[in-house]
Amino acid sequence: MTLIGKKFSNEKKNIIRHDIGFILGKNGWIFLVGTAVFMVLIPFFTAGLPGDSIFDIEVTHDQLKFRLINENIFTAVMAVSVIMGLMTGSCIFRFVQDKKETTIFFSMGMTRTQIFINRMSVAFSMLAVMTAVPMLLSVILNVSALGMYQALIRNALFLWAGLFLMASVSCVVSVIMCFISGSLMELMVYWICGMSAPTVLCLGFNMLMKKLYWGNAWGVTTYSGAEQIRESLLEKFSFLNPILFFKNDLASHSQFMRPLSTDVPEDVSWIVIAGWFAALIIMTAAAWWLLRCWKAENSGITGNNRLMAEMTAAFTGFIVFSFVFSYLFDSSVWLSVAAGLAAFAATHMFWKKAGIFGSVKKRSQFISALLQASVIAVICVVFSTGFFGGTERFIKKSEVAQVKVNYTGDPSCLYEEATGSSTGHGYYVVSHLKLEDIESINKTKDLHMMFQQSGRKPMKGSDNPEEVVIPYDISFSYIEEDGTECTWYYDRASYGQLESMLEIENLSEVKSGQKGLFEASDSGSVKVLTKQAYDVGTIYITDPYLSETYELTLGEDMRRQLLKAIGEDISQMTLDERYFPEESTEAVLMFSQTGEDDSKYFAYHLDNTFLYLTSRYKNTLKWLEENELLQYVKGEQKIESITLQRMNPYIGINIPDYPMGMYFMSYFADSSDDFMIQKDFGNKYVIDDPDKIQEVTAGLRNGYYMSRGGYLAAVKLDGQDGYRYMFLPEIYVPDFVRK
Amino acid sequence: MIEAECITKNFGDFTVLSDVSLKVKKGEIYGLIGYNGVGKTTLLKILSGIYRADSGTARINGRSVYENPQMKQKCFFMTEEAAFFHQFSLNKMRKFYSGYYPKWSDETFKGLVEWFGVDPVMKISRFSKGMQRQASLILAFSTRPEYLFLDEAFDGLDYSMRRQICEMFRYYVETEEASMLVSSHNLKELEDLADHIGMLCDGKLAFDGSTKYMRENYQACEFIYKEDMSGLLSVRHELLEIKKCVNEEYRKNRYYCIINGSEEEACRSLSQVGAENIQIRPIQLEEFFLKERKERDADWKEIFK
Repeated sequence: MTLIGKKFSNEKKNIIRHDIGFILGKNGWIFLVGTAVFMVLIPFFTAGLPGDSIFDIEVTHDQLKFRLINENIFTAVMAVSVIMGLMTGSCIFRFVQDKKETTIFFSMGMTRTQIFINRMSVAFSMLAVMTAVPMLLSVILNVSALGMYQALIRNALFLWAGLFLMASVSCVVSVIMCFISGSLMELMVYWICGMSAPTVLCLGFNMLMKKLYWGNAWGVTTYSGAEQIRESLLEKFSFLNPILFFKNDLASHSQFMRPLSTDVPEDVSWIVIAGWFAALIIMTAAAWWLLRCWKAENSGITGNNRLMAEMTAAFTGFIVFSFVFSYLFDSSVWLSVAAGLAAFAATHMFWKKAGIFGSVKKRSQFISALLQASVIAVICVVFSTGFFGGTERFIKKSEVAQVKVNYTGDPSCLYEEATGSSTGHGYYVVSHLKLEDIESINKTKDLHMMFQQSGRKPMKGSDNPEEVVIPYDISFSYIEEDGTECTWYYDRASYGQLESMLEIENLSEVKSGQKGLFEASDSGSVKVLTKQAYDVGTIYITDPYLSETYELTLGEDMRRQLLKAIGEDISQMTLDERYFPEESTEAVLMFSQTGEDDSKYFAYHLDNTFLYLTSRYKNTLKWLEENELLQYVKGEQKIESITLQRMNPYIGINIPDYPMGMYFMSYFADSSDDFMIQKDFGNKYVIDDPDKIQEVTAGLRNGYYMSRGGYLAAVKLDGQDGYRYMFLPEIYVPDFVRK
Repeated sequence: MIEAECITKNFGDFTVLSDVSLKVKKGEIYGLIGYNGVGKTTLLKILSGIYRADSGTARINGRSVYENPQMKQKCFFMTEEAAFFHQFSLNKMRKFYSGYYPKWSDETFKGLVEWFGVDPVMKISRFSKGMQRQASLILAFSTRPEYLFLDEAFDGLDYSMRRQICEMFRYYVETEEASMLVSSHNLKELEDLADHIGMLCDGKLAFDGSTKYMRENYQACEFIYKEDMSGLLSVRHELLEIKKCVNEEYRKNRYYCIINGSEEEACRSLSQVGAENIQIRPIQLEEFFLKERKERDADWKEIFK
């Protein structure tokens, strides 16, 4: 190297050193602020909070092995990472939005590439250190409080890598936006647009799918909120989201509470980190290329980037449309379309006023808005046609290993785990049966096709009970050999459809499962509450009017005999005999794990089961007779009055917004106003004429599937307080009641 | 040498510069003039490597300036508006610039600060417009550039200061063999300072020549003409190679015009058409500027009614 060359090289190094020093001097406050905030969020929140510090946290069996980040502030940590990235990138590169500063820096002896390298180096270094130092301190505190543990260092490195990447991605996005915007406002708008684009798309698509795509399961939870049918699109594609890609890993690897089964922390997967690192490199290269192409004369001028302006208007217009459309859809489809389009147009006009469209003519903007609206329309069409009949095609052609389908029948014969809720007069249970036989799979497909082809019917009543549509959770899942699962969900069903779902109980697989409820099994494997109730629950017997209740104390042998008889009866009965009995109940059996509380009111509870023994329960009745137990429930009861209310969920002011169990199970209540559906005034019909009472009594049932319509009946016994609630099926309603 | 060759620059659909070519030699001061918005600043920024021309080349000593750090270290561009960092003092700006310009001279800086009498510790944002211009000049010359681009060099400076600064410019250019390209609306100072004048008009370089050439080939004439005006107007194009007969002020019989030609040619031409009492002098830069820039008629009574 010549002396001159060496001089130039030293000069260049000096200039670079000076430039980096200047950048640090001007922006070092960001580093200080960021480090301070991360210090609070990471080491302080994990070790400094009284009562929640790793130094004094109380856990059993010495379970907590390390906690690098407090689980209560995951969201804050991610938010700060993203915000620090934004601040770093925008502060370091915002000079391009100031004409004077642009002139200063571009007139000096540095290429744009050198300017970019110097500034990005400072930015990445600051972000790396401000996330690393707090993490290192957290490691030291963990070792001090809990001792060294395997994977502590690995997890700390992993978490640091993730947080650093989040911040860096946000930083590079803000740098890119500095080059394509002309003011701080524009920069912020475009940064928000860029960072939230995946979120906006997922949320918008999901909102529209929930309303338009009949069968959509994405992002749906059951009415009770206890079960998420499928993750939302936002959760599904979080690994592609610059704001959320590290969320699950942060939650999984921030701490280790040793379970009984293993003392090895879960392995970390570097795939997402590697993917985003590659994306970061590409984005950084793109930012460099943008700076190289960037025209200094555009400094400080807003509305210069038509593409970004259109994307901003498109994304915001789309999410606004989706929100308004979804909000109003249930009220009126046409109103929702009109309001959605109006909101979309207003969004475009807002951005025009805000200036991001610069000198783009109104006509040109109108045409592009029209094109965007057309795209939204196409999306809506795709969803509303079920991806052009994709669901039907799947149902017809798919070959799967297993299906899961909702059980809508008698909860006392449910042999899988369930969730649900109940009040004194009603209940709702959700459970899924897993079926593998070809017969079962085909039947499930038939039922699914029935739901799919019926379309989204409005929730309303009808004179024809089969056509009454109520809220209900119905889902169909198809599981392939490799475990891949596809699920469809329907948030409503007609009475007719719910009755069709009972046909599942004719499948041999289901019958076998139900029979298993009444057979002996290893106690350790019993997780189903219904089975527990049969196996160990207190047994009560009572008359059909729930008035004389007795507790049965049976030995294990006797209990098994009784259950065996019940199992045989149920397996031999048809669906009609079980759900639409022509005969009255002769006795009621209750198996209860909460008998002390529920034996008076006979209210359904997940821990209880009820059996309404008609004459079809031959074996059971025979066993009870042989063991002299039936005599206790044979007494005649005199009825003082019967109050009737039509079983119609839509008869009152309040439209039902929550599902209810369709299999009526009789119960006791203190008042005559405890019907399972609360109604307006004047809809109850009281019968106190003895002859009429007798006529009605003949049709009353303790257990009945309400899909064919009927009346709810509150029976007052002569000389007794309280009311016995039973069901009067439509086919047994006397003429004088109909009139 | 600073060299612009066929430079064209567009801002969107608007063409600011069209096929502009000029040269500034070593030890020369080039004055760039033109009406507001004609593209002076744009040309300066292209020549100093801040902007990229859409076509054509901007070279210094035969090498492109754009993205050429070695060349840029020898250049300094002084903006029309004072360009300083927010809340910075002159001392802080010194620290800033000294790191980027290898030939920075603290002695020059101190000397100029003392001579201009500005406070190096006070924030520049608190300076008056003229003092900010002085601060800009201090920083510009402290970098000891070989090529200076000064946009509105005299803006905000009082008459006395302008004259002294012209002396400084002249001294620096001659002793350092620097090249200077100066734009200004102070045509009087520029006329005395510049060796060469370039006038931009409608995106093109309407005039590019030395001040000496300008004085030798353009004459400002005053004369008395009593004949019919049509006679003067009709003959001037037949007998004389008067390119344009402009800026005529009709004040009784006294006329004023600018003639493209030497003093003798001008005198002869006017005499031939019957002009009397002819007075001829070399054109001034202001007159030359007005010659190219047509003033717009305005009905002030209507505007301010």
